[in-house]
Amino acid sequence: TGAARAPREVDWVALNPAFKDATFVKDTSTCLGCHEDAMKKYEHTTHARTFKAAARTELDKLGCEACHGPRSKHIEEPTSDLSLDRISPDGRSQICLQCHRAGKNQMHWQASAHSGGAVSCDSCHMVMERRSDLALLKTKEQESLCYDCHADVRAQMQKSSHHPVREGKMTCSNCHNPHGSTGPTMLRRATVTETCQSCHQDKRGPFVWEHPPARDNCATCHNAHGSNNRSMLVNKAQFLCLQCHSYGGHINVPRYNRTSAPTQQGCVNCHVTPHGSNHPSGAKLTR
Amino acid sequence: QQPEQPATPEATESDNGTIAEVMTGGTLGADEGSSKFNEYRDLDNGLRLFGLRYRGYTPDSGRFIEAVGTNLGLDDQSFKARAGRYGTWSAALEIDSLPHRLTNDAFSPYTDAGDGLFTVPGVVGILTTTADNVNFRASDMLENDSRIAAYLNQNLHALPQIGTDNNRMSLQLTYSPVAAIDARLTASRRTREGEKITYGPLGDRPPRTMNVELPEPIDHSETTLQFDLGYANRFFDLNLEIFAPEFSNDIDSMRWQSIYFGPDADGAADYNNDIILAGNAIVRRAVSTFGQRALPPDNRFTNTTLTFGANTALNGRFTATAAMGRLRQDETLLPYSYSTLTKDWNSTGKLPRLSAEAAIDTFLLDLQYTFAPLRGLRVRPFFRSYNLDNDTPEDQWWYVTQDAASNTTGSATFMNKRINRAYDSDRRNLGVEGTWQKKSLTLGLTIEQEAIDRGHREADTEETIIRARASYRPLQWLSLRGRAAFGQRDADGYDFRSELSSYWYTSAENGTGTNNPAFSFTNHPDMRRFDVSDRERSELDLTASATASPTLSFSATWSRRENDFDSDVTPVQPLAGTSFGAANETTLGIQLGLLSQDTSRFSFDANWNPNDRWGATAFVSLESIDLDQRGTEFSEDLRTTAQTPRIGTPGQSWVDPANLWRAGNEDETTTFGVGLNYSIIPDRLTLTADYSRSNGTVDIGYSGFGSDQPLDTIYYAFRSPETVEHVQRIANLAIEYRLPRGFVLGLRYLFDDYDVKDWMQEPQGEWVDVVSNNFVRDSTRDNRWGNRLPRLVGYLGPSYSANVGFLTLGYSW
Repeated sequence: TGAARAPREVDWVALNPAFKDATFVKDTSTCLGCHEDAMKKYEHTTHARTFKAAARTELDKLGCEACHGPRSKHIEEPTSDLSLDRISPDGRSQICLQCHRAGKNQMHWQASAHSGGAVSCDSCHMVMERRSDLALLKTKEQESLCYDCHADVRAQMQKSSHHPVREGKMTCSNCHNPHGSTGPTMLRRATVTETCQSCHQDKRGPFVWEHPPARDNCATCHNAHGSNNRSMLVNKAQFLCLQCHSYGGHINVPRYNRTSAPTQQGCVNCHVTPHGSNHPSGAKLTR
Repeated sequence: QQPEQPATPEATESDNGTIAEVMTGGTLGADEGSSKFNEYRDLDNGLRLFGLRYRGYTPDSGRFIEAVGTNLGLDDQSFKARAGRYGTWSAALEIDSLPHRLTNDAFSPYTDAGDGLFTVPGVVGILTTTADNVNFRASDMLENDSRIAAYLNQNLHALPQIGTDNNRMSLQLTYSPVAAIDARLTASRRTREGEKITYGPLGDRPPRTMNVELPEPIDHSETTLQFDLGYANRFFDLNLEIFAPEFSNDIDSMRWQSIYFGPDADGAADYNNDIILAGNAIVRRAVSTFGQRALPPDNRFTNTTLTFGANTALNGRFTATAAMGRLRQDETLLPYSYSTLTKDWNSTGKLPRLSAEAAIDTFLLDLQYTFAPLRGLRVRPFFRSYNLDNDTPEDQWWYVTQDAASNTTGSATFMNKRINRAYDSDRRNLGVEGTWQKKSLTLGLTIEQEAIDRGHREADTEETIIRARASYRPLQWLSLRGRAAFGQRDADGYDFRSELSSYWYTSAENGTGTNNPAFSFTNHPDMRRFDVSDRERSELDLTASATASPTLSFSATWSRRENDFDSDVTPVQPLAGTSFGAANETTLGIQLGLLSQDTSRFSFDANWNPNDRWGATAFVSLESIDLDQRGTEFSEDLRTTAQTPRIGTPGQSWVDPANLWRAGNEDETTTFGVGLNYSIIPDRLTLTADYSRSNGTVDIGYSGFGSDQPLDTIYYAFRSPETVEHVQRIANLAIEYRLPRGFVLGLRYLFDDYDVKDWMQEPQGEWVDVVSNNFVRDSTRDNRWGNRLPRLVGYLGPSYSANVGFLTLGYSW
């Protein structure tokens, strides 16, 4: 399971004109004659097993040709003319979308940044071999796959203050949906804040005393990919607060009237509830 | 770096497990004090079950069962089990544990008495006459410091590890009765228990706050239900998602005992004898024997999302998503103060309402249409609206500092009459994207308009964003990609007075008071909050990927993000038309706040796989983040007073250019790593090794106000602090030998070294005096109580160096 499917076959000729006049053979054993090594690995995949155990649609029953297209011409003349490599990234994704259309993991694919950036399903997935525990990814660990393109994020995750991604306790897809979403930067939920609060529910409130930037966008103060500052802050403690606050007195300078600024957590030493307060005296987020 | 799981035998259809004896080198034991080593893991001496895997599959029926476990029985364990029939149904159970260790080095006089109560074995018994209006190094205050130091030395005790244990269990059922329908139900529960670090302000507002650092109890649980239903036919697709997480905190509030005072000598509960002469002004302040504050409240979020999708003519795809969210929180409120203070501030009868009644509704509408009007051309118009409607009632409250009022009568001042404002927003994005592809060349252009209306904020904003991108593959082995974006955000009539509506006192109540935020200004009028200010941003990404040979590939990426928040600030007369002394004063018109942010990153990757036996990788990443900000020092107490010429001492006037300061923050990180794997004896003996180093620094260059003044006077001068530095070096080495009968013998070595230097955590800075163990004060030794802080620890996770050895045995059957 994973996606409701009502297959609508692609127009193979539109994807690759060489498919013209090719017909479906519907005989997997013919493929096996030449591609036995590949098939041995393929047998361990969810795809192979689903097709074998629960082939419900005509497309499912096509076997290899469901994804590789009508192969009659290929059998007659086994060249690479009908190879999937000859199809554009978008076209290759369309092949997968024959089945993987519904379900929140695929519904937004065509409008996603990945799709627009010439990333195709097979950029990340290896459907012919089981290399990962889930989702037939190309690599065993999801992160190494993402870092192939997002190398800067790998470096950010090495910073002192980080989410436990490099420790293997979180993955990129805990926050991002690489198949597209209605959220910014393909986040799983509608906003940055909603995504963060999926785990950090103690910060969700709503509070009697809201701190608008915290309600608006956690990324105003935090960098979820890692930071050289405590609590993944984007700036050093009190300097961060002073980017917006200039009330007078101690709220104007990085050090004033107390040890709060030069030590520990800066302004948070007294303003202990920067995400919002539920205390009746919480107007200044000190309770 | 978490050590990679030792390689298991071919992870396909075999069932296998790996156990390992962890043999730590000499230095691990010596550095166990640093919580940083085991921040998110549980690695210690002893036998451990690294991994366990079982897979069963019946080809005829398609039924399967799988189980994967890691570090079972440890604080960082994970276990997943799944069973079902491929393509039809499945049931999955997942258990995951995550430690988050904050520090192992904390000391405190506090004892957790349970239910959020923190007590101390006694009180300091400080002198209550510690004010000296002339001499800021009052001998009485120093005597108090000595008493506090002695008290702490006598009563500090080591706390057990501060941090949390997170345990999550989820059960997921999926069912697809027919191909067109797929349903998924997930129920999960996560508990989070332990402590984090917080602060317990006591007494009057800063700077007179008597503060302590202490643990905050955490006993959270989160229950989440999620239901997904997908339906597809040949014409359209539907997906329904109901997402309902609920947060519960078993400890609603925390109370902490004052270390400074005991109950009244006369035993009365009026606390009038517990008075200090606070600050440099001789004003008597009452202080309670306990502090109290609310902890994160129970809350519930329900989000229902319906997505419709349909393929259309012109190879098109239309999707429409509507989502409604409800956030609710109705925790019973605490009284204003723990103590009576003669005005019954400790009674909930003084509150305008007894529970939070906090409610926010959200609504998302997302429309996307992708189609190809011409061969090679794809067009995507889109519209997105996200509305956040805050229905929390707005009431008239008092900002009563927890334990004392601002004067001897127990009354909070008029300035502390505050209204909770129900912040809300409405965001709309409208745009069109075009992508044109011709052979190996792809060009894209997006034009987007974003408008955000905000309630109770300084400005609504509109931004026009243009994005362009190109990818080109001039040669089979070379791929080039580029992306640029430009955005111009305009803040519509930035209103520095927007916060004035959060006060409910009258002008008559203010009288001749000169600290009068409601009828003057709160933030300095020249401040521009960067999240709602004008902004010009530009982004540029360039990537080149090359496959030099079938065995060698490179990739290099350079990116830059520039944000310029210049908002054309001009001088204003914020008090024009009033009768205040500052009615004719004009600001400098020099923008305050974050001025710019400039981030650049460069990454280089290389992969070399000369043959089946060798493989090597290398990467390097350089990152630089530059922030530029400006501020000005002025006295809120003299806000409405005539400002020119300069008022009294420096740092008083809001129109004095000598009060301006500037800080440049240079945050740089260099990371590199190499990896190697070598099959010494094919299919028998393998060697893997990797090394990475991350070096992060933060340099703050401070200039302007106070940068040329002595550091130990009440000028509260500041300097460019020492560089913050984090260096992490990790090396892994593993040798594995496959024995007959499915056994795999492995020898592994981990070197993990962390070095930290941070002026915020070191007490020996020029601003901080170490009075005694865990007791620091500002180097001014000013007699305001806010300058003192008994703290739990200096470095939370200090430097460490660890050598760890593993002997592993794997078996598959």
